[in-house]
Amino acid sequence: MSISPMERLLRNPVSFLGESGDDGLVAVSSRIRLARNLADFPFPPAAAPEQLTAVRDLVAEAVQRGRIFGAGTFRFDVADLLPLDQEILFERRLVSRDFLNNPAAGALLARADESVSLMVNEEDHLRLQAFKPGFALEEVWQEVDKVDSKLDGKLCFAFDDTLGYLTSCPTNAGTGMRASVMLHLPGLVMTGRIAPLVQGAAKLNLAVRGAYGEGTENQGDLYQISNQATLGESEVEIVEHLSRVIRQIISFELQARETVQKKDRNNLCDLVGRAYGLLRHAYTLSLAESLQALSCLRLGVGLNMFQSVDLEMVNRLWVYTNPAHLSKLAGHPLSGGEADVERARLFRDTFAGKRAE
Amino acid sequence: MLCDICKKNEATIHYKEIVGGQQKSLNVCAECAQKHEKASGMNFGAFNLAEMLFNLGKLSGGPEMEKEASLPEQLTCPQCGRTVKDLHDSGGRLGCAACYKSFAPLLEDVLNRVQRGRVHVGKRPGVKRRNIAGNAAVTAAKLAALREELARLVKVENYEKAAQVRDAIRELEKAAKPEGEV
Ligand SMILES: [Zn+2]
Ligand SMILES: [Zn+2]
Repeated sequence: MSISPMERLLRNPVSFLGESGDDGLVAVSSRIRLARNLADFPFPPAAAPEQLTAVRDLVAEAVQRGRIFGAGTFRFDVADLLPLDQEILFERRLVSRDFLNNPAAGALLARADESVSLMVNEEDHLRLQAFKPGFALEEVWQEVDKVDSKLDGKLCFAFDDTLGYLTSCPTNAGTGMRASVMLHLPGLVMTGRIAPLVQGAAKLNLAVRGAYGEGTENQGDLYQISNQATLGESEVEIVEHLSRVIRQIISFELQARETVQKKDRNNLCDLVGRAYGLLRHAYTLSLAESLQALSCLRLGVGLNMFQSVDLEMVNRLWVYTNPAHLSKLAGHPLSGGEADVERARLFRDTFAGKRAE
Repeated sequence: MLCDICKKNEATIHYKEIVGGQQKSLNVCAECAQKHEKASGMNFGAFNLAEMLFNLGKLSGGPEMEKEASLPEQLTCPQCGRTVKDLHDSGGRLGCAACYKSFAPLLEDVLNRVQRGRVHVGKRPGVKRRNIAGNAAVTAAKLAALREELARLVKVENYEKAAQVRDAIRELEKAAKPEGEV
């Protein structure tokens, strides 16, 4: 029996949450995105519907003919997707909110394992992204560079000798590259050092964003650090520059955890233990509640407090306890209250060893 | 990102400027922006991306706005038909590759403010590349800009970057010459 692409996608382990190496305690995932446009068409904000369709078909054909993503390539056309399936793509970080809000001729193409993907007709004709678990910017750059070069052999990109790759927003012109690392920073949060970190990063022309909820308070102590400038530095320089800073933040974070632990280990263990108790035994859990508790749990893994909980489990739960993934698990769309009940059930089952697939 | 003023709320308003050749940025929450606005007469709240990027809109006061706001409101891109108003309404999004030339006077400022340099030193497309404005006059203008940048970089002793710009110049010179004449 054949399964739908969406079902196949849901059976994948999420690409950016796999084995993450030594830095995985702090660095959750690394991502690089490249913006590209076709030279012969207006950028999406100014293009007519039939032009967007033409761009979509040209890019899809180039991807197919060039075997850019190999066997089992995913293709999702936004306009054909149910709202729930659109949310699944969003929760897996394959698409942006803007992309879903402008479905005209928008398509997502992705490698079978989701590690490299391409949004067609977001703000730029092509938004290519590659993901790896942990702190692996250099490897991600090599990967995305390779795929971009292959596409370059099939498509004619808008490029200017002085300004580099031309993008819809001039803040992306040049390399068109945004590199980012997702960091888990509970130690810096507890020691009140996030604000100085954010300020320091801004001085270095880097952006720091909370991973959950744009514009709202950060939940789960997850922060995404990325480059802001795209012109005047080469891709390799951007990666090196960002990597230097990330390495430093990781060591600050580990120091902060050490400090907190030395000061009052019992208190810290209590925090982690209570979070585990909540997730293990609650019958209803809001997303905010579970994010906070998961953050404590992840910290506990770093302190070697658990035998049965590991990073991989925490990372998985981070994605699978989001509303759309819970709805898929339940087999039908869930209201907020229903999702809270399903979320609590998934946590209980997972910790009881009955992990739902 | 936390607010630079209260260091408590999430900053939702991001503000950047160049002071003495150095980029300064200010990220504030709505609450502090409002307070600060009252105290200083600065108008954070009215910013949107387009305004920040292009100094568009009816802004008064604030360090960005000191210079004459003599905006070429009548600019339109002959290639895609984009107008200054379109830029404004879309949060500063350009309409096509040619817009970079059509709105060059506006972009000058944006690039200075947001970017680290003025010349692309990274990856270049391969065989299929097509320069959007490949004629000799444009190439000459670009070479001039690149040489200027090179001189500036040598002056500030940024030799690593200077070497990259020098390579870019060589490549452009090579491309500008007819086949066989290297
Ligand atoms: Zn504030
Ligand atoms: Zn245009």
